[in-house]
Amino acid sequence: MINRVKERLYRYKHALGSIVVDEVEIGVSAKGRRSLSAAEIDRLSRLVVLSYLKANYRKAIEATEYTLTASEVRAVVAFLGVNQSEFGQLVGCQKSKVSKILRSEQQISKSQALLTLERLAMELARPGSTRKLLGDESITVRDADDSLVRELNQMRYSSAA
Amino acid sequence: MNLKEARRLFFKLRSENRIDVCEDHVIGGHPERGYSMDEVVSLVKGSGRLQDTTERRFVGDRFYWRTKDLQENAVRLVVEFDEDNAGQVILVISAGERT
Repeated sequence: MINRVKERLYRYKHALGSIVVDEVEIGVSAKGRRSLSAAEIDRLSRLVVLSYLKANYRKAIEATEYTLTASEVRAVVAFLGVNQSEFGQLVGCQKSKVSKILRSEQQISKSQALLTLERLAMELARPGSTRKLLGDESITVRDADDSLVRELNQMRYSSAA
Repeated sequence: MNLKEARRLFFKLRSENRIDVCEDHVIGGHPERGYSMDEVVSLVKGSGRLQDTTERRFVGDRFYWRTKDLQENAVRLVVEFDEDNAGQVILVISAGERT
């Protein structure tokens, strides 16, 4: 039996960074094993992605050269819920290039990195929109909560200033 | 629980997003790959095959979920079924390489 308990000041680690959240619901099994539910993982991952975008969006636009590491790209691809060739479609490159980027054999260009951040922001603001964009008609696109959308808009606005 | 029942339950639970991932999911697995928890969830949701475990140290209803990660590496997840107050759930114990 898994008991759900609230835990305060929880550190969530992710390839795009780690965050400390006020409260998390942890599952504790009869054997004492601690787990997170998929819904809670999704919520925390969204918070990490928001924090990652806030830290990198402006920097990416202003820098003369900008790229993403293989592990960042891997984390983005996983967050968007796409495969290598779909990711290639989203940022305008071949699957073979995506494969090389993931193996650290090639770098993602600045324009593709910027597009990657835009795709992240789009998925954050409207969960499911990436799969919809790729033609998956079975997906229902949701709206993220208002506070998150406000923060995303603020991030974009301050970048343009 | 036999394999046929386990497969039916696995596909039903994952379609309902009833998945839990252990915090120490990489221990005994493949830590250098460093799957984050959301990657483990996407591995469970990907295509793969549920198989019986062969290791005697696994007591109870544990199964292997064999799938591939983004880079087409074979991955073996050890899963078991548990329940919380909302019903049954897939519990991912570890995510590592195929052995």
